[in-house]
Amino acid sequence: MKKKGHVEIKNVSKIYDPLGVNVIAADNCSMEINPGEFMAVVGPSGCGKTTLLNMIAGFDTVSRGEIYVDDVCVASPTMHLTPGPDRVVVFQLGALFPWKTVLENVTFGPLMQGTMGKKEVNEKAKELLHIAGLEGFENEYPMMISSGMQRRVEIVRALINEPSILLLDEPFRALDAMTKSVMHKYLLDLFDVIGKTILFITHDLDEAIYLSDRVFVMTTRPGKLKKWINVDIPRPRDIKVRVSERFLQLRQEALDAVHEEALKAFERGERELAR
Amino acid sequence: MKSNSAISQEGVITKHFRKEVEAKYQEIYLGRQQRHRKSRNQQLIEGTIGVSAFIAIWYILSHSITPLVPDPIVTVTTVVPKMIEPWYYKSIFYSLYRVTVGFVVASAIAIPLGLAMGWNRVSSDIFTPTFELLRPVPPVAWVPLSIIVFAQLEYSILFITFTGAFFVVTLNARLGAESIDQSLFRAAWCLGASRRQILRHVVLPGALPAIFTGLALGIGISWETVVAAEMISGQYGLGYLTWESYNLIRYPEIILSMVSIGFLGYICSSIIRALANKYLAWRKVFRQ
Repeated sequence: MKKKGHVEIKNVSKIYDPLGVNVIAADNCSMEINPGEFMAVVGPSGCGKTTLLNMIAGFDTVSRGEIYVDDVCVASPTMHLTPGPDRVVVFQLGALFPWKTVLENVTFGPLMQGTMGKKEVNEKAKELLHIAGLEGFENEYPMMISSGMQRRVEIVRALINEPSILLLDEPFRALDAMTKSVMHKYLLDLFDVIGKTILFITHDLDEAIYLSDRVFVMTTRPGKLKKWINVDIPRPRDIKVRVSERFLQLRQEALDAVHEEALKAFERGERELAR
Repeated sequence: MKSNSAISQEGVITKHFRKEVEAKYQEIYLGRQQRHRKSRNQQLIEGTIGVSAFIAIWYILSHSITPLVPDPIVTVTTVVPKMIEPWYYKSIFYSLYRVTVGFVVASAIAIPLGLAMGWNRVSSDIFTPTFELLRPVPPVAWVPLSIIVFAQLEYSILFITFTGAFFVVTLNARLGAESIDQSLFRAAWCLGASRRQILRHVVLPGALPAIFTGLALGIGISWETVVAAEMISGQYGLGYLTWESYNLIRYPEIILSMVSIGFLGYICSSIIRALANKYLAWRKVFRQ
């Protein structure tokens, strides 16, 4: 049997048509994410990274092309939206239910789907929370814990569904630098343990190279492939990687590509399309 | 095992976070408690001063500018014997009954309607024009029509208290549902929740703070309208009593029924507030 977590994006385009003017958010994007691969997508603001993620997650329709998860078509121009627990998203600004405790948030998915009994799911949730270093916080409400912990709860809430792919939409964007670096380390360690396929959207190059196996650099709008960067830095990684020679080389390479695009976007007078 | 180092490191981080959380608790809970303890006596004194001043002004006014208004002493001595008579409790019972029935029926319709309007575009399109047209009509303006529509006076008064609560509860439930962060819907969606489950676990709890605001406002308006409706068309009830006392020149009793209305209104909104505190525990720490 093939390993779970194979994602294939075939010639996907997204065309928005507000006010009758075609806005191409993603233009003929193709990529293949192998099982257990950590893939990062970077690009200037408003280039369609989040659109790409939304199409994979099933929040947004595709205008052209198809997306396959484990050889099952999840998105095509003729299909209805199909979000599901095989492709769970962790959101930019966090989306824990503030009226549910940490434990209730984590058990939400399996309980809604009815895939597990309450007792079973509680046990599994506690186990995962333990691995995430969150034991003892099961009965806190999200507002009472720090933002770094909230983000970890959200990742645990996604993982408990055993998704084929974990979609992270700039999850550390709103965190301060110190919490961010702790979260990076946490995600790296977690990735080494669980080996899930991860798609990580970010505008932060350092973050992308530090965390991922492969970086997909997008052009400015209409977003398409600018450059692939293979990150051949061995795992497990830690903060020292970020000052290593190889890291700096890759960073320079990526920076050149992104900078060119950012300049183009800037010249066109585009600002970030705040979500 | 690779995971071991990760976990032990997490242990340290967790400890750090735990301290942070405890500090936050202490700051919020204990800090507030201390502030309360210190100020409780002072509050009592200040409150007493305020009430005494009010009574003093009332006394002075009733002996100078408005001689028809009974002074506080006369009021209390006339009114206290009346308070053990059954008609007084009958009035209270009727007003309370009218407010409760109107308010409960209104809420039972208004909350689902408001949530539907806030959550579902189609129902918003269907209901909004009619709703917005009727909403500005003051409840008292419904009195003549409701007397025509309902053969029995009792029903027309119930209808008035109903309208008093209905619009404000609907509006707030709607705003509550609209204010829910879109990413929460998406999160629930990709975690596999059905529409019914999203309604139960996202829309309702997300709108609940606004719903309680609506209920607190609604019960207040129900009290205002019941008094007006009873003055115009009622039999029994505190509004009726106020008006009858005026007609029969029993001025102290006007004041008795006014104070009773205020007191009952206060009790009702306290109950709503207690319910809100119970069901909104998740955001309680951020109050005040």
